[in-house]
Amino acid sequence: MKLLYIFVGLAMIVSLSACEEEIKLNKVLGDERITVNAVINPDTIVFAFISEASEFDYQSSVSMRSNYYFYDKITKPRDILFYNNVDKKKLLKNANVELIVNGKNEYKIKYDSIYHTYNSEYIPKQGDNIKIRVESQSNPQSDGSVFQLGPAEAEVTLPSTTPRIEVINTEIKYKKREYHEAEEFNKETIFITDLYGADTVMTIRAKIIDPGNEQNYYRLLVRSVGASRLYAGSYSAAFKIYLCVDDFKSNDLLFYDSDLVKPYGFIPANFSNVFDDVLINGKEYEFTVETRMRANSEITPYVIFELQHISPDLYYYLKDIEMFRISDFDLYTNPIQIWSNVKGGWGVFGAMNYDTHIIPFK
Amino acid sequence: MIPRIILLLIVNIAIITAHAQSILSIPPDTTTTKSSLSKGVTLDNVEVIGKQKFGIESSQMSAIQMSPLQIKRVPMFMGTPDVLKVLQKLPGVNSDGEGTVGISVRGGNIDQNLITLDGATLYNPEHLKGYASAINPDMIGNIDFYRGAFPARYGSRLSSVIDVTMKEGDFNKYHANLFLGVMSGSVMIEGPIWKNHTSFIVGGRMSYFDLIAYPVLEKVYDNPDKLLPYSEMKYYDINAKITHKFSEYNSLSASFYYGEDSDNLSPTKNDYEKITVLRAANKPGEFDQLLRTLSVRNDSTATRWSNLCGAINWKWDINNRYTVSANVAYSKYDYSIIQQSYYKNRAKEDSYPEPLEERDPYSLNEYLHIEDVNQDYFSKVEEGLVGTKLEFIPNKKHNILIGTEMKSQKFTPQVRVRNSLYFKQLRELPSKKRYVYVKSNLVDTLMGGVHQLEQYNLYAEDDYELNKNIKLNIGLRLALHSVQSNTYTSLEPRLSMRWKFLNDHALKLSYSRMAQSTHRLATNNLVSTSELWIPITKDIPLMKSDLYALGYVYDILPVVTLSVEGYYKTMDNIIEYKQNANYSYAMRDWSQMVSVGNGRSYGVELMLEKTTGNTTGWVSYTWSKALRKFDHAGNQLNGGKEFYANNDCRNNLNIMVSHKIPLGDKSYWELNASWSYRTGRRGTIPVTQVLGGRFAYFDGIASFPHYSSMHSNYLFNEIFYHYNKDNWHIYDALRETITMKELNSYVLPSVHHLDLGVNFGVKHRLGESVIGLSIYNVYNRKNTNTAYVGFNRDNEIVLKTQCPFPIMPSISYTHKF
Repeated sequence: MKLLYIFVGLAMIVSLSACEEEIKLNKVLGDERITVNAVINPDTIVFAFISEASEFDYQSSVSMRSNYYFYDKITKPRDILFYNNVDKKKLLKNANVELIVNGKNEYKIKYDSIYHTYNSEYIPKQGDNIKIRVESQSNPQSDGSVFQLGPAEAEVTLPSTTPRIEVINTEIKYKKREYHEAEEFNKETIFITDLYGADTVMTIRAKIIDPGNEQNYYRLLVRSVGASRLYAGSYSAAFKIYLCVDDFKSNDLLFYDSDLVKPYGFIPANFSNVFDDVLINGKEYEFTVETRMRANSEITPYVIFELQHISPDLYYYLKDIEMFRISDFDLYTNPIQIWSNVKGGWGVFGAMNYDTHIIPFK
Repeated sequence: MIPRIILLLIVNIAIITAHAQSILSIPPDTTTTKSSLSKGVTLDNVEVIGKQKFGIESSQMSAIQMSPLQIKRVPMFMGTPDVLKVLQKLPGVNSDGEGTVGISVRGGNIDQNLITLDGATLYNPEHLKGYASAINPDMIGNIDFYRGAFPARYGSRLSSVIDVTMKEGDFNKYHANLFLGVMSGSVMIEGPIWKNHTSFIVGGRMSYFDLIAYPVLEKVYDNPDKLLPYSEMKYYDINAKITHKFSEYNSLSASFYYGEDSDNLSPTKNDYEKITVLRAANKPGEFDQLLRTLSVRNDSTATRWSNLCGAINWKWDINNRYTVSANVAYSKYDYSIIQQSYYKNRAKEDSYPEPLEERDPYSLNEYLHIEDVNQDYFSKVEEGLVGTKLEFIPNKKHNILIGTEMKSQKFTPQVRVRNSLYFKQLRELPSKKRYVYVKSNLVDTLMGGVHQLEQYNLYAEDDYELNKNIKLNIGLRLALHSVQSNTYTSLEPRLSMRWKFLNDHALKLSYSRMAQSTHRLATNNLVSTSELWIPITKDIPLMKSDLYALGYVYDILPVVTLSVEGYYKTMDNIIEYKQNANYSYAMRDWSQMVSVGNGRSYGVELMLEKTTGNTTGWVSYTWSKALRKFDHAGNQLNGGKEFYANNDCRNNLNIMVSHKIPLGDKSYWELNASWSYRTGRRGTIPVTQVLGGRFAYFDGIASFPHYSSMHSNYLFNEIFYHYNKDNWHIYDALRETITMKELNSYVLPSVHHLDLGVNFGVKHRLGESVIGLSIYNVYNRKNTNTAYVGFNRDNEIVLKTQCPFPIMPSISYTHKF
């Protein structure tokens, strides 16, 4: 019987020595690492931001990420806000990037080290079908092989019609600006909301005219622009700064998105300025928005009021980004897949036309 | 339904007093037969083995009948026989994960399997989070398992039917069966209440791992924390059945089942402390300025569930042509999972080694953040069913069955979110003033409500023998599903046909339309799972499937059968959680967080089996694909493109062999071996970081171009920026996104293991004793079924996986009398 006890004990110990295995993830990403981010429009050349996707490298699991985030919050210097945090290692500076316009004309585009973008000489036209093709520079390896990322390819057609938005009327109102509660306890360390916002708001009544010929996707830009003078140590070093906020509010159903369940920064919950034409297909649709005046010591503040007709891929991409930025990334949350139309890579190659109105704040 | 044709019935009679073997040939079309023994002769373990119920003679395809004996022959985890794990070894059936009992049949979801105990629905067939099944093999009479070609009498699930008939107690003698394994034990007692008229059978099982094994192991195991999940795993279940025979042809039975489980699979505790030198001392007398950070994280996932099933069945064989039956059943499933995540972060600037009271109070910068996040899922289903059946045989060619069912179901899917937050910040300012900020917040919300679903079913089927070679089962089922003042109607044609083109060869084909009005909504990642049983609603329509199958059956020998089947299945209106679905901050009902889509699956299945003799076993192989598509505007998953379901399994191979060696009359050896191979489980792992995601929101970067707005680049000659309250949040979140190419694109490594078992049985004056030794996963393959993203010692990103079942020897003892 003693032998039996020993055997049972050993059996149970072995059975409970549940092991933990580690599986390397290199193969998940493979060579499909090129990321293309570009949105073309008919006013300017093509700017393509080319980078390299990487494996998730936070030094914690997804579920622990929020912990480390809070350490960052108090240990990073305040001026990190003004630091361009693009990870330079992830930029692809020597990639072969070419544009193929309407299937025939090919343009090589070059890297611009100031803006970290690849800039074309070609200015797209409405109705153009533009394909982008990216390959990294080939790097000979010590074993004689050649390492090269790509190719990554994406294609977009610039909408052939210009969207139409009309400003029906505007009205200036007084509305006391709101502060973040943090302001009350520490003005020296915590930023307040809308520091340069004034107690003046403008309501804009406008009308979208949807052509109704096909499914259209839009983004409404309501950019309040002001300017102030920034004193950098001495009066002589002062310079003018523009202050822009894309913050606007509206109760119109057009901007309702039930999936955006949390507010994000100045954007309230269930609010999105990216929408499709399900509500307005083939109609003239009126709505009202409200925006706040910026600082006005240097210029007369104004509002850039712009309806952007965006490509479907850009629409889906932006919708996913809106959802991504409110996600908790924990085990209780379903993961988010960011839309991409880049074959063999990541990112988005989108397009937009727009109808812009400049409305002075007076 | 009465087994209508028994072509060959072989009765192996092992007689204790004078053993002999008799072969009784019973003519075709015999429904009942009687055979008497001489006075004083007793039989032990009479095994009645005929041609398979669903074999070459039957119009039925894609089905199998299993006996308790077959189930007990398969070597199992911890030596405990398990019904569902045996079913996992059949063609077309895939396991939900290594070691678990959840099954996915022909690419369907787990919730698409109807499991009934004497007609009452069993909603959760698991014990110990799936390590064992809820069906007690000692209490089983038979199991009919259908993975296609569903007769019209079955409905309400899309993918399979597991019809368990509980065993009737012995009407003449008392018997008992005692089983002791490493992890659990069981007892079964049966006998007459009123000899020849009323019998009972009672069985119970209980796990005692937490009571016996854990306290012992805690002392000897070098890492007791790893045992924490096991310390709270426990279950028990009770089965009972009483049968009364009014006459030889008229009987009434009442069955009862209750099982309860509890576990806590992730009780974890993590403490992390770090000291960083912010500013080193410059001269003697100064101290380093330090930042002490402390992080504490405790997690817990406590699950508790219970199944209650009760059924009353009445059956009356009026004569050789008419049989009526009726049943009343009640089921209740009560599930809860309490997920708690507690974490505390504390960061404090400090001068070392001054004691606290001597420090300059203004040198303190302190930050404290405590968060207690709880998500509790409650899922309760109550179901009442009343059904009647009439079976009649108008002539030799027809066997007709007509029936009705009324079912009422009440669903209570609820999620309670309880979050508490405590935030405190002390800050030293240059003006030597100190600011203290304290914020606390409590959220306690219960989401979800009660849903009532009514079902009315009417069905008819005819097993029709057209001629000697062709046999058909034609059926039609009409189902009405009433919910939220909406009624969904489902007309479900069923057809199954056999064409016996040679004596031992037959082709079979079938078509079934099925409908289902319940869903089990589960999270889809590889780590944790929660479940809510929910009904269809006015916005989530009835789930439907169409299954087409073609098969070939060849009786190589009278006891060896080869069958090959191919199938194609489509499924409409299946549901999944949307992207970013989360109860904790969404504060909305489950119905607002699901997408409705479609699925399809196809595959080829092969089965070679030998059912009788001293050596029995089978080889099964399945090649299959399971896909999903959610492309409804605004509710797309995977960008509206088709993707592999998480139960997609390309290859599934199982070999099972059992050999019995009699040693005279009183003892025997039984050797069992089983080898399984299966493609690994699929899951979604978003581990790719992609730059991008900043389009036009001017939120804090001055010099970087906003490339989508280059048309406005006249602004770029100046510096511009703005502030907002969440600027730092935005900064991290917007610069990079974490994403993946496709849903369920990651495939865990393949799972395979060899299991061996040996039983030695001996008969003695106190009955029969069987000692069993089994070894699960003989060559210690590190099989996994869950994974999460983590980092190895070299700070490389890796998937961390748990291998819950390494080599597992176990011993068991069974005593019968």
